[in-house]
Amino acid sequence: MSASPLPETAALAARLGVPAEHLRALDGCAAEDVALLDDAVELALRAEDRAVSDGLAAAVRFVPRPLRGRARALLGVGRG
Amino acid sequence: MSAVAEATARLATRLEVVKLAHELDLGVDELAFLAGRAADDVRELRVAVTAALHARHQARFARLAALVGVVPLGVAARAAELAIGPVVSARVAAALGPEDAVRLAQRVSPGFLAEIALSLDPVRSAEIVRSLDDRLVVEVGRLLLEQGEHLVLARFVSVVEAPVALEIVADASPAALLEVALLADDRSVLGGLVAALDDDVLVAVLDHCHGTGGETDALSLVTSLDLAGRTRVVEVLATSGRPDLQVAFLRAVENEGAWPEVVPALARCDEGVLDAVRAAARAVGELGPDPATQDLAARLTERLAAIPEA
Repeated sequence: MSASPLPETAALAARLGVPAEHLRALDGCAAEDVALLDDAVELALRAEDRAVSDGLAAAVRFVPRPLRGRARALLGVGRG
Repeated sequence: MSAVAEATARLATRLEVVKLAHELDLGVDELAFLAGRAADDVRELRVAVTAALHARHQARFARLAALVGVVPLGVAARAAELAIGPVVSARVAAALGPEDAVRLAQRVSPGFLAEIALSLDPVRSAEIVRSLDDRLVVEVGRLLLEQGEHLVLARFVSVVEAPVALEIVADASPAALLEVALLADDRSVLGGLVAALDDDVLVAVLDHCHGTGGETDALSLVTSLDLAGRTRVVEVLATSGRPDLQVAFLRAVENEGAWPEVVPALARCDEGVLDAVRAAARAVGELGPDPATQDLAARLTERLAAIPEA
């Protein structure tokens, strides 16, 4: 029977939306290494969120003005 | 597991770590703690990270892709390049149908396309690159080479015809060539490239490996080539006039237990090439009188004597 995953591994699995068993590569790794990886994933996801918000907001500016409200709603973009 | 199989497994893990580092914009050294893990496990971790990044806003990308489909292509391309940016453009390209993605790719600048390529889903990247005009692929590929983006370049090289791939890497350094080859997802395409590369380029790559202590990596790569590719490497090396490289290669083959992959290649070589390989084995015996060197020389001579005639 395998040992329970580290809390850091469980946190990373939750962040990635996968069962902890999918992170076998981290079995036996030091908690601080897994935490570093979790931080890197969090940063990457935040960078993705930022790029998406900025990119979609910018995309709306290329939509004819009368349709922008609809485009914003469609893309889930705030008025900014 | 033979030594060469172990070396190949270590290399596979290292390459997976490179890919994961690329996804997370980390230095490879920051993931050094994954070095001893199985490549399949690291791949599973990387796939989970990639899926999390790409799936996070999938529904919004699908809606934006639908919008792209109803505006003039020129406007969509301008919006992508001037406003939307490469990351979102890459995600939207994945949500577009392949034909629309290709039409859009052909309307943006090669520089921007190179930026998009860095964030493009690898599977979708292959579909798009296969359909692009060769001139554009070469231009974007060379930009990626200049930027040292060898991982993404390896994806390009894996899916285009050999002449196009050769044009992209025409000015690549031996180190870059080696890394691109190592990172290629589909090693089966490398045989064609090895067949077409000039002898002096192949020797330069082998020389780079020798100079940087990378013989084991090189051997792992060589043993993963098809038989024609392995034969070509053996022939080029045997006729290179570089006894230092020949001795290093033979030593690596013996130490890593790679004879099962190398013997079939030697068996296809003509007698002149085999004579050169035997001379290199004899040269090992002249390296020193110590028992280890003499033992290596004797084992090499024995192995080579058993090579069947072509």
